[in-house]
Amino acid sequence: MMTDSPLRPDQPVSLRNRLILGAVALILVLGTLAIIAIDGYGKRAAELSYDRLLASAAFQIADAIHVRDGVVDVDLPVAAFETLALARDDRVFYRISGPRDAYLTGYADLPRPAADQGFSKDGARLIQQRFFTSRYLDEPVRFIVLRRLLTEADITGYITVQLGQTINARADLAEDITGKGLQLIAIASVIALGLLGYGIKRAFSPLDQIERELAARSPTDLTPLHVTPIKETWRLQQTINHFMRRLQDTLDRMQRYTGEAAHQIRTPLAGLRAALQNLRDHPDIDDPKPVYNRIMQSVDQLNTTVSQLLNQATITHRLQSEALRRIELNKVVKEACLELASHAINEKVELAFEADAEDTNLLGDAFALKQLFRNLIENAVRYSPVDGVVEIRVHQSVNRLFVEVKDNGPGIPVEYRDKVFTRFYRAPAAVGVGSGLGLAIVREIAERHNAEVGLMDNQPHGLTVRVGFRKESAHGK
Amino acid sequence: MHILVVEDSELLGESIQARLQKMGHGVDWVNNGRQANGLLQHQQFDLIILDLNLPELGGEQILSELRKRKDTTPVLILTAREQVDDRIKLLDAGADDYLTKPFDFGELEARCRVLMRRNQGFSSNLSRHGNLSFDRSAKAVYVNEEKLDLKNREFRLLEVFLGHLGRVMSKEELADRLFAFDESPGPNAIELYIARLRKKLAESSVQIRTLRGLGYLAECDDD
Repeated sequence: MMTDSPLRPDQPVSLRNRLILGAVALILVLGTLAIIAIDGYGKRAAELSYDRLLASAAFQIADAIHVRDGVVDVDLPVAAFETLALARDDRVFYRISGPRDAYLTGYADLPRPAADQGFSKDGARLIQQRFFTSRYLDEPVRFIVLRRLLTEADITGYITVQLGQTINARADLAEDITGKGLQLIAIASVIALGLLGYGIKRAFSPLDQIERELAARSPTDLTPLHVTPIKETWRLQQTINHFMRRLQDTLDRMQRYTGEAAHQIRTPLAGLRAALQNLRDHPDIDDPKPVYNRIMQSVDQLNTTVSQLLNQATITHRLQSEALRRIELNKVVKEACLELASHAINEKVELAFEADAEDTNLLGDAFALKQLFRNLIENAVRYSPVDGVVEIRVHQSVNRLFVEVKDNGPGIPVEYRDKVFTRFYRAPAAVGVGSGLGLAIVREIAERHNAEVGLMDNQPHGLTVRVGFRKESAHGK
Repeated sequence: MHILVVEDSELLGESIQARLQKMGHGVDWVNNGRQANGLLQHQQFDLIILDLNLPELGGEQILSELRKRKDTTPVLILTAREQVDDRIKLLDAGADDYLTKPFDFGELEARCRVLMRRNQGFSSNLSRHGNLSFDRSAKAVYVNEEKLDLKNREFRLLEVFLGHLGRVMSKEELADRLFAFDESPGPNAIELYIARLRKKLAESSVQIRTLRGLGYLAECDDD
């Protein structure tokens, strides 16, 4: 699926190509080494075999040297040259000299062996031979120098046979061997490449399988992958499955959230419509006043829900995008109180603010925190009895700052205290007005500020909500 | 017919109750899921109008408990969710129909009619019983093509009898199907309604017989 729609403009790294490149490089290096070895071997083999021919010819010539009547007599054997004639394109040179290097026959000007290629001085041996290569008549020539000790009564000393042959045939043979070797290497390389390619393809097949399975699914299918488990891809598969599970969770949460939000908005709308339709169709109803009151209540509730939903969207966005700044907690709480004071008075509830902490600086988002306190105060006002007082107090301990909002309402039973922070949760007693979002927003904001929210009983009755912030100094600054 | 409305919004619940009562049904309204579930374990209704988001116990659970008890009372779901998936899930869970909030009463009434008459075994709003024809959508009854003048309760009572032709119905059973719990009909209310209905049905093929100590039996001699 990635092949026809590349995710990134630059080419992604291909493990497969990397492996194939590595394999090719390896084969090239091995092949080169093999070629060098085979070339050396071919040359040596050619040299060895032609040297033998050369040596055998030289022996035959040396054998044919006799001392007759005190004179060294050379009778060149035809067979010797016939052996050498096997190499048809090569020319043969020879030079024969007697004791004390007296020239006897052949090419007088053949190059002599270099000093270090000379013979050892232990004269004990009857026959000694040396090979060397040199240039003669502008051509490389392979020479053998053969010494034979004459031990006739009248003549003692070495006779030397130097026999040379141009190296065309050797080169041909060497080339032939190398060529054959090259062919073999080429065939072996192709086979090796094929096997490697197949092996790599097989090795990657679990990945292909995962890719195919993912490509074939519908976008809503987030069930675990079912691929033959392979040790090396197991972790990847697990990771993909884990990721899909998390995605499914997020989607579920999202769906639940939109479902709840739809319910919260559509139910009052449905109620409004139904009530109005009843009033229209039966205008002769006895006492319409309670219905009108309910209608207004519904509109208020709808308004609360909509503003809380909008609020939450704003807050969530802010908390994700805005950095925390240094703020003064006293000031933020006081502003929230001031903004709600007249609303509270309309509801016949009094707000009382008390600041018992001096240094209330901390890192935070003033807008979000103000929303947090507004939600708490609004809740407290909502559940306060007529002529009740909502107390808001900022105080501190050694390394914490606390904001407490206390009311004299019905309170929240212990068993519901955890649940009330869940979005859209409304305790059974909380009839009517709440949106079920206020405390969820409170928790979200508190979490961003590393603050804890606790619910406690107020005396003699009612609820105390306590938000505990860590002091700036306690953060290790 | 006796209808249970389970809806936690006061305005909506009350409006539905008022509307259906005006049509002559006995309507009970509860705003709490647990309460509704408890009620349904002991009481039979002809139709349940059920909201999904309820305090304490959700509508889906109420529905599944109901169906687990093999209770086939028709259930009309009120939902705010518009996703097809959700609706499929509801229908699979045993809901008979659903209505998306907000809705028009005309539609609610029509769906209620369909569900209740289906439960009685009639496939159309108009049923014929000898020379009597019963039109649920127009809320009209004709005998020999002549319209009878029936009050709401009388119409509903006849509807109950037509749904149980040939079966003995006790006075209590009839009261259950006709009145909500908070309506307290006098001890003779049923007798009174039956007497009036019987008088109006004098010319028709449907006759209501009194079985002393047992109840009432409606018969149709369509010759």
